[in-house]
Amino acid sequence: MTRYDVIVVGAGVAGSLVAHRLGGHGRRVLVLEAGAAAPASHEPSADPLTTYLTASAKVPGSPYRAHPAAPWPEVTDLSGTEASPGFRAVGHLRQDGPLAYASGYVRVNGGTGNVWTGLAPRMLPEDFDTESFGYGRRWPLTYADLEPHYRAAEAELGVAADADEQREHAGLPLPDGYVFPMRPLPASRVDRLLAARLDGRRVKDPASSCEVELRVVGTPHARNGVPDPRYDGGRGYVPRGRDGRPEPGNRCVGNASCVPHCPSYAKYTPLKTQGRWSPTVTLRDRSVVSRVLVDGRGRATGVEYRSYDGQVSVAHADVVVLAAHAVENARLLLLSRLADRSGQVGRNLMDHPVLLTWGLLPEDAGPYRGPGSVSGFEGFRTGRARRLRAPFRIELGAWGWAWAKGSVDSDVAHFLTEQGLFGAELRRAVGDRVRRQFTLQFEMEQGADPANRVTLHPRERDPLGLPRPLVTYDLDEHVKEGMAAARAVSDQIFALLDAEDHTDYSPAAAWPGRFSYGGRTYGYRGAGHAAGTHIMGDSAATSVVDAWQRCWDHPGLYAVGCGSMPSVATSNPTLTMAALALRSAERVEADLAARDRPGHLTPPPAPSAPQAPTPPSPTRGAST
Amino acid sequence: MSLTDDLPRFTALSARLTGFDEVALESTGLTGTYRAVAEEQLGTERYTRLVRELGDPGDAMDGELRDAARAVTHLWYTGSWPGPPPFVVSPRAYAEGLVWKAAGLKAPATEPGGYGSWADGGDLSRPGDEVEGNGR
Repeated sequence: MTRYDVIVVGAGVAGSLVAHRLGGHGRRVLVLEAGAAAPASHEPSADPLTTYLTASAKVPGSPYRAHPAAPWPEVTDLSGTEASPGFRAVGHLRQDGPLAYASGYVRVNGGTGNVWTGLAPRMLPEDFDTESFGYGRRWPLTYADLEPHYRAAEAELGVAADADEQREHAGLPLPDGYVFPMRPLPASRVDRLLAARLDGRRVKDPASSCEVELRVVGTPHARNGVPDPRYDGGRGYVPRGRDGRPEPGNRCVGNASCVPHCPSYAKYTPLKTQGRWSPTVTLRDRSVVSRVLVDGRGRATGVEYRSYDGQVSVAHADVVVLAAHAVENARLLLLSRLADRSGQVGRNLMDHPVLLTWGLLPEDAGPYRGPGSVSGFEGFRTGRARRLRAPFRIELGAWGWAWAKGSVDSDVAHFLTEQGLFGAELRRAVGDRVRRQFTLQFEMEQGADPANRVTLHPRERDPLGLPRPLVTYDLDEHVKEGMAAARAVSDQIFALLDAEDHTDYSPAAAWPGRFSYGGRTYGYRGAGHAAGTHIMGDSAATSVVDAWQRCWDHPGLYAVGCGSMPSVATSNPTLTMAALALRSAERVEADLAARDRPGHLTPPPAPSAPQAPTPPSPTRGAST
Repeated sequence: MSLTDDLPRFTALSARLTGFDEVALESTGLTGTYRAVAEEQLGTERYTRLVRELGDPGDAMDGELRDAARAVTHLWYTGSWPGPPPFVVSPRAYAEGLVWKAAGLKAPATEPGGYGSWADGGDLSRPGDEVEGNGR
């Protein structure tokens, strides 16, 4: 049996980056991926694009077909009901909470990183300590600690953004002279329309009674645009295309299908990182890890995994890195009965519950032509108002009403069935309706709450015999206050735009995430940003992993990914997850280097206070 | 009635239902496909009734005929038969959905406009209801 230096469980964003970095150091890395890398010979060979185009419901998992042995939760597994608790969950991820956990994930090679939107903002410095705002959990590291790793992540993912704009209007203390790998993407038509009408206007935040100035701000994108020649001290940046190959001319061309598939390969996916793996990295797909193995002292020694036909194998390594998604990482730790001294494994499940409001502009909004959202409003993310309500980032949705109402098929059905239109009338009505659509997407921060959790289902098992994950989920008053404030902000924005508000969280079946608060009904979607399930902290008594994402009681066992995040804040979390993964890879390499040092007999450093293990890895983009 | 004889009638019917002329519909290359889908899904009897009896898609239709007319129109607009269960006829059918043409747009992931195309539309005050797709 081959012995590996490192086993990585999961070939998504975090796992692919960890494997890449360690492979770059010559480490022998085995990556075990539950999903399929490509169809087997007897399976339909449809490519992701064709599978997506012919899918009736163009949901996040639609470019792929799940194998029964490695199922994943799809948003269509959830439906709303009139009766309490107001939703029903079938399929892989079961639920028994008061409200619906409305997000899914994908188990294929590349993971959910295949189907993400590609928005890559950093978290803000104050986001690392929400305890000072009276909620959530404090990080055991600061923005400054993570800053070099953010730069490294922006290099790996290929981020397009404007540093000055991020400094001035998103509140990021970027180092002087820092430039992103690529210039910011051009604003979409709806961004320009809203900027023309709204920049400088003020709306009232009902929670804080403060006025907030509106400004449309470009969002950082992990999506190829025009390289910035000033990047990396003037060395520039070469965009990467399919499988990570250098393609100087690769650009986002506006397919408007980033979720779930980018046909031009302009959007970052983990497959780009995999394309750059060293030959010392081995990917074994269709390998469902069922248990982490430890020795008598708790040190990780390897994993047990199953092929789709149920055959059990074992692989050994000095370091095991779990990177299987927040829900599956927690499930795996629970299956292994490991790392739970604090009792926090699976707890503190967070997401970005997203309040959507949608309507028609008086004019052509130019929908369905580019990334799902290019810009946003950043004014509701920070400051004292966080004490009173959840902070939120507002994404300007550029794909009509797709997230709220499904595809344009529902617009056609509306005019055809409810209004009885045919012929020229139908054509005019449908065209007018689709062209004027826009959506505001309020991504709420949800604080860490131990009651929101993943456990093992007591009875339901997947086809390999492993207990299915069971989620218990709710939204607290802080989040609901945030949604109420968001709706009030939306009402003011719609009035300023002279837009027709079509927001309506019905029928119940279409809104599994729905609640009443203060006499008003709110519907929410899940952003797919699962976090918190192996929460990071500065004490083994209260957290699952330390600041390096090491499980406290198990030398050699890391759990990486959004599951480590003590707060999910208001940024789309992938970039932060990537930065953390790159940081952990340095720690793993330091562990292995210590192991290899001749005559070095002391055990690897105890998981104590974080300290810099090695000189920082080369961080492209450092201006000085 | 043979397939060959029937196709022009199906196309003419489709033009009345959709508001797109026969040339626009034929340019999609899907008239024959959709004729076959409609007959298969509706059943020959209902399909034949639809093609023969539907002069003007409006109040004159009875319930069965109206449902059939809506299904065929939905097929043209979206590339999907409305079901149940709904299904997309083909990638081509999705790409040629008239809903996108009615809005002057392209179906996502089929005919992207190029880098930065999402920004265009120079006049930011053009009323949406004056814009109509050209039916290509």
